[in-house]
Amino acid sequence: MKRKLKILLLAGNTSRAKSYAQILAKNTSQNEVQGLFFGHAEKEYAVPTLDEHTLDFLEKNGLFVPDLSESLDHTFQKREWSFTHIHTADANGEEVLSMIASTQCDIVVFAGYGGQILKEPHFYLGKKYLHMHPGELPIERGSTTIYYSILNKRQCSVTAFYMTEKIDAGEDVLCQTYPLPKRGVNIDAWFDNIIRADCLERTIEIIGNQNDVLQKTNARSEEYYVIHPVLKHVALLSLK
Amino acid sequence: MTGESSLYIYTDSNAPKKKINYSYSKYGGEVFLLDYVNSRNKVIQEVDSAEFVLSEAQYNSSIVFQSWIEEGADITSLDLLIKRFEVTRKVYSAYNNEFRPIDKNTSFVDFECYVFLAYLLITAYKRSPRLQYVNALLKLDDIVLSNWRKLDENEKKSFAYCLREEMEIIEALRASLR
Repeated sequence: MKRKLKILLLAGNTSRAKSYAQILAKNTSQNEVQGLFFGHAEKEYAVPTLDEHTLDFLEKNGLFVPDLSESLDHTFQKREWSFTHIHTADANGEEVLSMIASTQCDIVVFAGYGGQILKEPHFYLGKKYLHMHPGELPIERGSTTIYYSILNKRQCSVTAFYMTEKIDAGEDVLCQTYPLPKRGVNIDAWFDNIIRADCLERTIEIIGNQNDVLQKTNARSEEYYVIHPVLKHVALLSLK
Repeated sequence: MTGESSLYIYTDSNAPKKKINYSYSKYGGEVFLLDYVNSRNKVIQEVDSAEFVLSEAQYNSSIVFQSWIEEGADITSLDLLIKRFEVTRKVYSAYNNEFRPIDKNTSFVDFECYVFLAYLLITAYKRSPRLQYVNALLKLDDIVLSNWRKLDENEKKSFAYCLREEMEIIEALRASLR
């Protein structure tokens, strides 16, 4: 039997958060979504342009393309979902923690600012935090893993997992694969966010169906770090 | 180090004290890779011969790196060292068992340690072609390149050898993806 979920979107003012919000809003299920938006006053947000080549690739692969000029507030208002703004960019701040603690929800979907890591106090609040990691866990842990997937001649993947204080190490819910982008597709601003949002939508469906933990593989864990621009170019220029 | 119009902007005379930023790096196509090669070749041309001539490591770290070059490194230890380097973007002259600097005064500007580590990463990659080794090698070489004038003659020759090897690795990687 399908479960109606209470979801809290813990979001910075980012393209990723907007992609998540819009894919949740597109979904016609009766899940109840609330927003906790942080750092809005501090962060200037430039809307990335979407070139035709990237749009064409995304559409041909059936991926939902969000309107990144639409604010998080507007997306939530359209669905009549409630939201709160906190004017600190610190995802680990007291204000954010106490707001989460007082919110009734089944899962917290995390879409913070680049490089942000949730610290231990979050994991003592009794909430389940869901994160979309671009890469197959545990063999593609860490940062900028889409580029490493290309260099390792692998498909791109996103793994949805419940976060713990240990980075990229909680229980997996879904590992979804995606086709390698064509040469010239904007990966950082569009492809990355869009495949994560797509995986989020699929993951919410799985959790709603009460079937939410994948069997762990015994594959050797590999950790990657921010890719050097030379390797990034080698990856991008290898695309067809 | 690189010309004004170069797209290769990943050297900084304040490194390693200041971290070079690699996040969300801009795409520059083939021209970027040409500028990368040119920036490396410019310093290689300054030495009579690019060969690894460092033989007597002087610092605790470089002594360890030298032994790993000769005997092969334990993957777990090398992974931990790479992790520490990626986080700090520094190579310290002496480490404790967890690859943290032994104290807050430990030097991170002894470039012999960087050159030995660069050579170690090259040998490790040749034994086991893991991308983590090349990624750290490129960042390490950017730091040394940023401090080229501070190297002595033997360090320059040895580092030029590392740069040449690094470029060969990149070329071979590109070829394998064609």
